[in-house]
Amino acid sequence: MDAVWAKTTADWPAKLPSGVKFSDDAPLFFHPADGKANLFHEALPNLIAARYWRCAWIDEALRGNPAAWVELEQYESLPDVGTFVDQTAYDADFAAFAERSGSDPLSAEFAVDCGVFTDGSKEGNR
Amino acid sequence: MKSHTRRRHSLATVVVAAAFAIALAVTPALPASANQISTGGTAAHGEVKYWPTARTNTYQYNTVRARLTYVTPGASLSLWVALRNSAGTTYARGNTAGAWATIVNDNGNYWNPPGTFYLNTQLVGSCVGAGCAWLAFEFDFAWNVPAPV
Repeated sequence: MDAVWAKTTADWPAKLPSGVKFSDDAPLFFHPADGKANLFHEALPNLIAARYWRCAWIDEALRGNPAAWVELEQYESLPDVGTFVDQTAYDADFAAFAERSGSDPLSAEFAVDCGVFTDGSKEGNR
Repeated sequence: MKSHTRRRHSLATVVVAAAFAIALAVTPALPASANQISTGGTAAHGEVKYWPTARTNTYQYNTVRARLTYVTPGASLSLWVALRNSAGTTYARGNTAGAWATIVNDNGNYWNPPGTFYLNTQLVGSCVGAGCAWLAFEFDFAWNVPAPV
């Protein structure tokens, strides 16, 4: 999976914020330490890379970088996102969740859906 | 600079799409904002499938459940279903042999926290013979159901 990940990120069609880069090896998502035979759908490297990319730009947006909002508009055009992510439903989900939790949608998303960006360096995967 | 180091495992990991066959059907019996699908695919016995569709629980406490509705005739197997987040933590699991089964959080709670997850499935149980390399299965899956906490 590390080779697949390396190719995925080398060919990634959208830039990351300054000072942020994809990991060299595939994230923990692709390294389950369960000893089982694992069969990853071929879209998952793109989808996990897209999640990392999105979270990197959300982080920028929450830090007040106005350019981040422009970048985030590209999300749905990233590889496989249009096929496997229902962004309209996702946005509605997070609007509802943010309202219930007294937050704003972007902060709520970053808090609960950006572990691949914020926790990616942690070991101890299960 | 964010750069991650990763442990390498000697696991047999394969990337495929052809084995995944996804069909959607909405069941109206759930709360308006809950979600349910009927889906299925094929897998070798014991193989863990990592599904591509991101799904999101949006309540503070969410019930998630699954029900195996079909498995290749003659195979006496159950379906293990797990939730894995993008950070690579598998945090809830359940097993269904036909009835609805709750996907229980690893902390013991019968509810799961808000957030997006990806499905993992595995056909488990005894299976002997060449047919075990290609098993068809279907299941119902419900998430984002407000939990009675």
